[in-house]
Amino acid sequence: MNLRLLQLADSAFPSGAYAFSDGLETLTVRGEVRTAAELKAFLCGQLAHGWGQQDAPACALAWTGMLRAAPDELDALLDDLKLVRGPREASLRVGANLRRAALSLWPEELSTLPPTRHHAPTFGAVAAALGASQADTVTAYVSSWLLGRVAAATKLMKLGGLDAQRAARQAGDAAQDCIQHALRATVSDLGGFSPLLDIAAAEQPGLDSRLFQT
Amino acid sequence: MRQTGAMSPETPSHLPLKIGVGGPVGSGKTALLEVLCRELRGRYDLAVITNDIYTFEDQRILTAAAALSPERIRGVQTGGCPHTAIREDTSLNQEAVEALQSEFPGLDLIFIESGGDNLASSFSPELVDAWLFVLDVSGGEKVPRKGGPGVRYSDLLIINKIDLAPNVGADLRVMDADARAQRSVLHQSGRSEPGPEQIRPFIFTDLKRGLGVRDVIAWIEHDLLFKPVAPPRIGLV
Amino acid sequence: MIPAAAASLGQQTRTGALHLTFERRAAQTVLVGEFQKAPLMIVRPFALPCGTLSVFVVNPTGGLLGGDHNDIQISVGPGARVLVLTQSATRVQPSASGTAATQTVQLAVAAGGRLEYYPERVLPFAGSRLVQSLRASLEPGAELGLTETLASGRVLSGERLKFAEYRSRTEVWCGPQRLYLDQWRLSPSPQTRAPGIWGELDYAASGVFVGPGTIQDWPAELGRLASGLTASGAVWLRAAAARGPLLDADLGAARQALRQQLFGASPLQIRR
Repeated sequence: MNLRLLQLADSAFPSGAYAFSDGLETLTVRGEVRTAAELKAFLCGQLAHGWGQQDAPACALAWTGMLRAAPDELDALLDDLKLVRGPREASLRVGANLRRAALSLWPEELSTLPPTRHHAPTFGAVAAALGASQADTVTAYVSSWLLGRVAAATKLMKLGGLDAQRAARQAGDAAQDCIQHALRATVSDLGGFSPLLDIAAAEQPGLDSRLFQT
Repeated sequence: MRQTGAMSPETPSHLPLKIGVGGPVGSGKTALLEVLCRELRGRYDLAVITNDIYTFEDQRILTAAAALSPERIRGVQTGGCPHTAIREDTSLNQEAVEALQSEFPGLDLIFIESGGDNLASSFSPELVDAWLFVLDVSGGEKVPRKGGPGVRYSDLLIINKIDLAPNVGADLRVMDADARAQRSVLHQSGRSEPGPEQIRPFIFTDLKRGLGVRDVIAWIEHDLLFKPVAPPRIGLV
Repeated sequence: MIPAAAASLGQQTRTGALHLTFERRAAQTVLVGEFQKAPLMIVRPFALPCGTLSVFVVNPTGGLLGGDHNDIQISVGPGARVLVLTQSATRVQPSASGTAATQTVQLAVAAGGRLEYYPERVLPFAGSRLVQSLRASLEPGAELGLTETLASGRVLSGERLKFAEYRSRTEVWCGPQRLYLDQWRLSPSPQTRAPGIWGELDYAASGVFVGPGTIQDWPAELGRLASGLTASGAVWLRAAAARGPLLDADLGAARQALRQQLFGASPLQIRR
């Protein structure tokens, strides 16, 4: 495993990702995700049909550089496919922060980094430039998403740290399937089916009080 | 204390001074900002970033108090991580700083208020040029003795609500002595009696009645902006 | 898009075609060109009280079979107002070989024209596959309303999430700029019932609207329907419900609100 990839994917890497829940906050406030089992189901659902069908393949495709998808094409696709403004802007903001932090840490390695805007293509392109393999890159990206969600869940739900980690572990098979799918995906595969999270994410700005930006 | 990096053509010629405002919930951060904005807005181009934990409450209070116009007050949600947003990963606050700078290119001062937190919080030097930490007397006279980065290393320590001292059995002289000890610059190298110039400034205030506000402003103007004004008075005077 | 493999197997597959051209003549919208190839056909167009010309698409064979292909092309000229509906739900049935049914829809709307396409829901039967793509090309100043509705299966018969694949790609372009892109891809799995995906619901809808007006009152029903702006300024719509009539009611109200604000249009009065 590439040491720099582990650093890039770590939750302490200053990308601002910790402040976004991408709709999970609304689902918890509405009582649709209340227990560790429901959290696990939410995670598996997103890996199989939602986030995992869009951002994970975008990361994998960006890793290939111009080979299978131009980064600006991926960004343009994500601009459109992320219908809901909150998650769309979160992806752009985290992407910009990740890019800025990575460029500041590895200026030489990233001197020819292609322009990227969204989080997934930025992560894929940076990891590739840092010498990580494609499989490792996507694995690290999926893992950081998964652990970021369960970390958010401990603040949103009555859920201990161990139970949160257990939910992530139980989503392991779904995560592996998601990674394998992402590694095989083509640009035209980006999509998914997540109507209830789309609706929840659109409702997030209307919550009376909230911890997360989205 | 101001950023002194080499000026590249892209660097705006006028960079605002960024002051962090930290401290536990209820110690008076928002009250301090309210009074500072009112006192300083005539002389300086000001903006505020609030980091509420759960709501836009502080943003609302400051707007309602008409301390500043609403577009000069930005709220940042921190995903329940108020520490992180001002220390390890300041990217969201940096975004807010950049947004304010581009909207108000003439800004002199930006206050960045941390979400109410505990004694362990501190500001990243990447985010602010200086930071102050607000404690209040009602937590008891022992609080300065407990130390922590805010009490020890903040550029200014404010001990607020001194009017409550008799009610909670706090002796301000004890707090003064403990704060001096904690904020002695050479404290850790073991010098027993540091001179007054080696104490990081701390000020007792009663913000409700405006006591000590003059010294907080003196700290900003004298210590940070290098204006030809009298320095702040430190501790019990 | 006609699956060559299916044809070579000598399978009984059908290619339906429907090409319609509408124009505005003497202050009325008229159907000026048509090409219909069974099993796709339309019943005679009629004008609604608001002046919009309404057309029902009919498929008398009861739906799409694996291997079937539908080709729909609709062109709307300047100033014409057209509403295209389907007479009944689109039933998608599987083929023995597992081939997908396919449908391509191409829409073109000229400046000042308006096209609305609100087909009834798709009912994917057990084992079925549907791959459809819709592309709308708009001139600047064209108006568009689209909705798409999916059921989890033959819900009333208790058949849910038994289909093999549903894939639906919708793109809206204005000149060289893409205003909207959405791709629903669903191969049901145990995770489809997860919170955030479909939960315990069985109906879902998406939609896109493009028009000159601005939205003040965004259609929203807590947990059931949301709307907003895409990155390029089109209006998107998402809805989900446990029962079909509830979804239809939510969707109908949202459509009416959006038509009124975006097009300045009065409510549709449709006679079925």
